[in-house]
Amino acid sequence: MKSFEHFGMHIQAGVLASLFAILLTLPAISDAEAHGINLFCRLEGPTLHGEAYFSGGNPAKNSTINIYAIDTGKLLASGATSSEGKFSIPLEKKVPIKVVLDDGQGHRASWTWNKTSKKEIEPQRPVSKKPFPTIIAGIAAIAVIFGILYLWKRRDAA
Amino acid sequence: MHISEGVLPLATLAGGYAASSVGIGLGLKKSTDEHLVRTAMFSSAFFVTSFIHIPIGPTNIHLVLNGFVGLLTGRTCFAAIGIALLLQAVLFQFGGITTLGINTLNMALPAFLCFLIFSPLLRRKSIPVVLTGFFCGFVSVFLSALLLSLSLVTAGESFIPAAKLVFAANTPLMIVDGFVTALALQFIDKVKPEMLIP
Repeated sequence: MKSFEHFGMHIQAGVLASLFAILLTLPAISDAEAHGINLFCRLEGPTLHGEAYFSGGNPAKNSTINIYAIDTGKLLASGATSSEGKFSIPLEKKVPIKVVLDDGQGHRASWTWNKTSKKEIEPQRPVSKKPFPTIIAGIAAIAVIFGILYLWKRRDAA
Repeated sequence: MHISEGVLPLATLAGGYAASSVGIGLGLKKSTDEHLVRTAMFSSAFFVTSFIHIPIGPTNIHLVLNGFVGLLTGRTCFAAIGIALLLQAVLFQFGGITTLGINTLNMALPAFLCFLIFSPLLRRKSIPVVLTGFFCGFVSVFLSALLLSLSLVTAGESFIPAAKLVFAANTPLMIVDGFVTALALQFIDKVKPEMLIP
């Protein structure tokens, strides 16, 4: 009986420690995704459409978009991304432009368009690595490995 | 704090595997089944802490907390750290399978030494728990960085600058890990003090 009480105590303590660890990690996971931003734009007539994603696959929300003329360096227009990371900004005329995205947390991305280059690359949504489910899978794997070790030890002791 | 594949000579890799296997085997042999539950929990905690990134200067370092794991698991820390590193290598490509042995040794040996040094201090409470925690975190990362640099040196003299750089890059981590271990130990001391004695 005593050994069972002891066992319960360990479980409790362990759960406490794990919860604490997971709690600590949650902000870090979203932060870990913010290492790079991919910006994709296309011009349809005089309107610039675009999408922005973090390298983890999440949309870059509410980020500032500034559009500069390449030859004069003047700010032509500005706007912000939606909650889905998309934006559409009308331009007065089609001139070579540089689009700069700033998420306000030190992450920037840019995209340039020259009149001469006709190639307008279709946006490709990056494959999300989904760190969180993989972390959960890792913890489950640890539980399974130690579960086997535990059973093996018990059988050994018996 | 992981060595990637294809850098170290075979002798170092094999030596790492041999030493880690001995550590894991001896630890598991002497452990009770209740202790295994605790080891599993701290293995999970160690697995997860590597995802906590702290931006310092130009680089991004992550917490290691091997001293914390060592202090609270004792002689099964080789198993706790080895299994966590195996899963990090398989699921996230941190380190690699060939370097798993040496990486486990570099993390777990300092953890075990910290257990030998700091566990008596923690039991007797001769110095405050916070101080024990800080020194434990600091010393474990210091020793791990030292072992890591030494393993790089075995790859040849041309790796000496890299080894020095690795050691220097990890100095801020010694302090950060010290603080986090101190906070964690103080938290456990308040909430569940019996957990501090493995």
